[in-house]
Amino acid sequence: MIIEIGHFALVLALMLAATQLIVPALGAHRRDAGLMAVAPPAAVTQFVAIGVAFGVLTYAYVTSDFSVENVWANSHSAKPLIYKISGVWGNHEGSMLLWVLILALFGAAVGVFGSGLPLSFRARVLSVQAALSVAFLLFILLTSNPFMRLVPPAPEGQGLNPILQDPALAFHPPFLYAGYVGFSMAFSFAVAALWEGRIDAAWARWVRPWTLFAWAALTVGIAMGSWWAYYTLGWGGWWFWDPVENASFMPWLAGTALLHSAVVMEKREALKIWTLLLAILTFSLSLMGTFLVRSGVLTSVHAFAVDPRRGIAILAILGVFIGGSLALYAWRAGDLKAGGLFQPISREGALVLNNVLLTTAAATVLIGTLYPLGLEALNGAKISVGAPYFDRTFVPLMIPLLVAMPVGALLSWKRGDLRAALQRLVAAAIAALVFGALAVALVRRGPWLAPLALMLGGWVVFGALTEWGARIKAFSSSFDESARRARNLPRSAHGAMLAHVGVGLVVIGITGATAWNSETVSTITPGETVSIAGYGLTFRGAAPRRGPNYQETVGRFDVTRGLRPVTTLEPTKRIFTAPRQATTQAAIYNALAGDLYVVLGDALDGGGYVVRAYFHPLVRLIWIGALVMGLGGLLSMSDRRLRVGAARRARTGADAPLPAE
Amino acid sequence: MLLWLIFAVMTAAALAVVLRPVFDPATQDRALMAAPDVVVYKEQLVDLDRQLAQGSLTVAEHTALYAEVARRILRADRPADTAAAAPATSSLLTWPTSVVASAVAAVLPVAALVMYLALGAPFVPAHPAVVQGGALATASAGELIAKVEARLATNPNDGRGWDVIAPIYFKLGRFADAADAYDRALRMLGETQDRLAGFAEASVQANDGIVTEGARLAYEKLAILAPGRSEPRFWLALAKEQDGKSEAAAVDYRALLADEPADAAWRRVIEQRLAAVTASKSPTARDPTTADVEAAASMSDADRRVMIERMVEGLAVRLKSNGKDADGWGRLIGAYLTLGDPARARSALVEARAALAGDTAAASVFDALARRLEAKP
Repeated sequence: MIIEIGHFALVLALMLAATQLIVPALGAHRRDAGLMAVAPPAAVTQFVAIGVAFGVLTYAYVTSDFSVENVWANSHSAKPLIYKISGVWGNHEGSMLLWVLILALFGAAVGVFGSGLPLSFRARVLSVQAALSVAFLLFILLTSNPFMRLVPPAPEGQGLNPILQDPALAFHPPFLYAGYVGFSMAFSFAVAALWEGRIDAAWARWVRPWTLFAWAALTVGIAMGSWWAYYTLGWGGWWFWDPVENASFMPWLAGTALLHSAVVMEKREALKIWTLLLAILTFSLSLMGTFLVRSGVLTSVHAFAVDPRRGIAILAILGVFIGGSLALYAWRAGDLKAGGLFQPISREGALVLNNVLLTTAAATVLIGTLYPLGLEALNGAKISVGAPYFDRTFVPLMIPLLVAMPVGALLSWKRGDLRAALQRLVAAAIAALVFGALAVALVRRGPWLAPLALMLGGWVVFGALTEWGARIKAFSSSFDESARRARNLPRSAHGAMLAHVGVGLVVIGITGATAWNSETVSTITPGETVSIAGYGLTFRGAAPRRGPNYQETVGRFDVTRGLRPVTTLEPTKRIFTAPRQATTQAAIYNALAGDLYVVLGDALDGGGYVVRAYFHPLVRLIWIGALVMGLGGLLSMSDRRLRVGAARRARTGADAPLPAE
Repeated sequence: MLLWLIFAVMTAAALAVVLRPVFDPATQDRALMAAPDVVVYKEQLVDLDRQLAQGSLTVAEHTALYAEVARRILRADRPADTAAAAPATSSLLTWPTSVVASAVAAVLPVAALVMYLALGAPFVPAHPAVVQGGALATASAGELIAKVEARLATNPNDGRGWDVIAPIYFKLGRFADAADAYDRALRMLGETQDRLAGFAEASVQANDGIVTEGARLAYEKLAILAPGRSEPRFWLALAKEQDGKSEAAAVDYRALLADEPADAAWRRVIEQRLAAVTASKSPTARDPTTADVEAAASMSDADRRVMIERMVEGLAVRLKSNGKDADGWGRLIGAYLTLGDPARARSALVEARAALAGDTAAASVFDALARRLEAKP
């Protein structure tokens, strides 16, 4: 009975979403406050209903109710509890349910916290949000229903793909979806603004926290996926330019651009119309990511053609929302009031440069992701666009972005002084040079570009610190005064500093892991030693061990550096029983300079094993950097201050200002 | 009955919450608030004063920002530009608010019920593995398995133990383990109908419905031991079908149908197979490599490696004699990579490029493979 309550709750949610779509829109059109006021409670009850459905599905997973087809196909009674729960979204149907749950959560949040919004605007935002809900709830109920029953019930489930039975991957989808779906708020606000024909002063202020939250969640989600790939796939790669990864990276790039253009809009009321377009594009890329991952089109265009129902449905949703919102934009954008004016050398100008580079980068990734699919659809050739393409297109776009980043942050609003900004960055430039030189002195091998890339990362980190230091007068006044200024500094300033430092750390991590990576593959028997990057790994033998739903072979390695023992590493090979599948678990030792990474390979006759060992210098900075970025985003989000930007000093006789759009 | 009552309560509660504001007189008052833009700007002015007091703004900055916000207020106070709504014309747009709300209250429950009835299964009972039979089914099976497994680990020649655990594995869906246990019991305790049938069925299940050689032999023995049983005849016929001997399979299916009582539940299955066989006449078009992979899944690690290596060697020899096969080279290089042998993959790639020099389509495939190779250790 409980299962059916969940099913009915999902149907009820669809009907509530339909109500939320139609009634407030009608109210906004008629200027009828009574009808518009239906939107918030509808959003909240819709969320509650989807929450009940999600809770029921989770309950079915936890109790291993194999009368539910979805549970039978993706779970197993012997699975540890955490993977029973994560199994809920470890499959197509459940993950789509999670998607709408998060969508409804955001809608409910607007309903609860949105009392400051103009009534008709809130009604329209929630109506657009409900349109998304209706589309995806229909999609779930008609093509991907997780509540389909199995008669008679199966005695045991099929099990969850062992690759997904991993802590990082268990929580990767919720973060990723919070990011994808979070951008739906920016989308709904943008469409509502176009619909209403005017952009409120509070638009950017309202969009800001949602975008920041989505962006932070997406950042952490992508980092989690990368970290998982790093330790599971068995050789320490952390990014593959795989279409699935690109699907999450494109909205991230566009979302980063949106974040920055929204700052211009909030502080200066400029770039308004462009920001609306970015909001639409960012969420469109999120939707496309969902389509790419969920339709099966990536496995093969032909696999998609075999069971096209779901794919076509998502494609239709994609067409309606992307096409519809862009058409609305084309129709209404001209009627909107353009924003303020500014000069090219100014904070606004720098943020425009940021936007140009980031959106171009997103377009580059888009081409690299879709081109192979288009080619396969046309002539059946299966090609992969790999790292070389992205190295040659994406990386050159990132270099000017990183170079300009600290400079832009030091320019003042409206009209900036480039020379003064550069003068203040002299110290950061020297620090970055010293940093690069140190790297050359310490590691006297590797590609010549590596120290330059390190310098770039250092430049970004020191540049971000310079700007922050200047604002708290870190070196020009007493410690107490600086501490007081740091306390009074808006949290968004701390957040921006952290996010920029995070970017620099990621650059440094990527450089280290790519340029100075070392590896060795050898066949060793117990007692023998492999050495890598100054470490000695002595193989002590391998033994079987039994886990809750797998059997594993555990290799034991004593790690020494010089004569000093460092640690013991235990890489394993697991064989899962349901379904039968083997996975490797690398053992990783986190040293200060990087990760020592050991993988147990195949057993050989006579007790020997193939062992692969790697040293990945600085690699952890990639994820630490991403976490720091996410933290910066959240810190900035928590800043609910009203923000206004104006020129630092009035200067007459300046060049004629350029229009913002 | 209780279920429908719950549905009704859920729907009524949701409707009550959603439609309440329509009938709340306070709603109309709230709509008459000041122009929200000006409210925002005034809040900004207050905030600027606070920041000045805190010392996070200098007086000059404060003055500049204050002037900026004041300008925005002046701009916002101008009459609104384009937002005027079209005058309502159609009937829906002029219905009184309460009528719209009543329409929602009338339509929503019906729509939800209709959709649920089309999709739901209100009479299917739950079947949780944990609660079912008071922790007996799974928990005690788990304990039993653990006990027997522990004993078998120390004493693998205990045929009785394997005999006990085999059907349990089968019930739990661990078909490969079940087949293995039945196989051991067969060898240690001798052949009985149950063991032969269990082994064969588990093997077939473990291989996604393919009647493996072992299963076929077992069914042949079972057919001799128990000539009255019909399932060995069916599986043997299916084995023929899977071997591509459609006509022989069709003959067997027909014989089986002739012997089965007319009301046997599984006649339909046989009829379906017969229809499939006679329709295609040709062997079922099953990708041989898929079958090989499925077969490989049931083997022990060592056996599988041997089998794969044999297949790979065969492919390599064929490509040496006839190298104009881009797909073949791609499979070979992929196989070497899977086997963890990048050195041979690299040399195969060199040979492949030599054999197919000038073929641009193949070159792009090889470029992709080369990238994979670079990525691999």
